[in-house]
Amino acid sequence: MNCKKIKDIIITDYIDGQLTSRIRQQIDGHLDRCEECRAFAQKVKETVVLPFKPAAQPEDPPEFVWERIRSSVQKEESLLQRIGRKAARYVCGILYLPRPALAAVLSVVVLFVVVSSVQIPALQRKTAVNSYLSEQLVYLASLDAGTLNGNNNGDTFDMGTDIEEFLF
Amino acid sequence: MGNMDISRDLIKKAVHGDIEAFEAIYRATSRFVFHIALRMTNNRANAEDITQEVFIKVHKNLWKFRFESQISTWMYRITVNTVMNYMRKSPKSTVPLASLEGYLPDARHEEFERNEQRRLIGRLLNELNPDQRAVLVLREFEGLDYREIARVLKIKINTVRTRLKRAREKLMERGREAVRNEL
Ligand SMILES: [Zn+2]
Repeated sequence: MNCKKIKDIIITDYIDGQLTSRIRQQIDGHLDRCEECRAFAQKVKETVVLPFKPAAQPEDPPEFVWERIRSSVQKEESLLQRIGRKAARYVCGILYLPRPALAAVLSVVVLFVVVSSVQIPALQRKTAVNSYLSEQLVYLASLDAGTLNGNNNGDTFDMGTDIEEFLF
Repeated sequence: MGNMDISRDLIKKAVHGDIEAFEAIYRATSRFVFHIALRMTNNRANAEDITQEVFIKVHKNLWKFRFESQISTWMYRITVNTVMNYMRKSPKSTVPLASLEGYLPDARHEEFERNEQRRLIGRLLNELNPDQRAVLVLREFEGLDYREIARVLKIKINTVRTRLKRAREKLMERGREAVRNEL
């Protein structure tokens, strides 16, 4: 590996601890021998690693943020409920029918609700499975690429191969 | 990532309108949402607005959440997307350079140097484009590894690398200029 490639690794995987120990040793070996890269590594440390270290501890958002979220969410929930009630009243209004007829209409409504509530989740599951599968295909393709490059050693595969794609 | 204590049961309850379950989800996750928003916009008021927007979206879309991925990944993604949209709607002007000051606690004397450093970081982050900033914030402040960042942003791991590399090269360049200007 030449110095340019070494520097590209230093500014990414090396300082982020993403390297396999084998590649890390190679880089360290190079740093021992090469003054230019050693100076570069030092500069990277000073300008893009250390400044982020003393970053402020994460803090919770102020409480009023939750209050605003809660009132917005509750408004929406109650809107849904109101729509539900209104719809029910409306249905009851047109269905001001003798009891047997009402029972018949209601059973149709119930049947419809049951059928649609069974179908919709099934549909959702199907799309979920589809996109999951397509993601997995991409993933498998990248695994294949790893095998082709002869770099398929367990969970380090995508470090090694990606690095090579990145550099070469 | 993924050490958030959110059970499937809690999510289901929240989906069915249980406000206490939703509040529990908020308590477990609002800190990182706020933190990312703060780091990316460098502005406290914007981060508060964004946090609100994120959780209203989460509430609306929770029923669509697929349990194949982790809830944290899903929420990181919503957060970053919301920040990106927010920044697109109101670019630069709402991101004053020195706005990190409002976010910092009063500088105690011994903390002065560190605060200066943070202010510099805030200023430097503003120099990056939103894509680069997102990758850097997830890496440096949230401690996600490359694979996790790739999942959150739905990009390739090598794209994560390239963006980090460009972002850092820019920081090195700007950092040198900033130091030169202060001398
Ligand atoms: Zn060298």
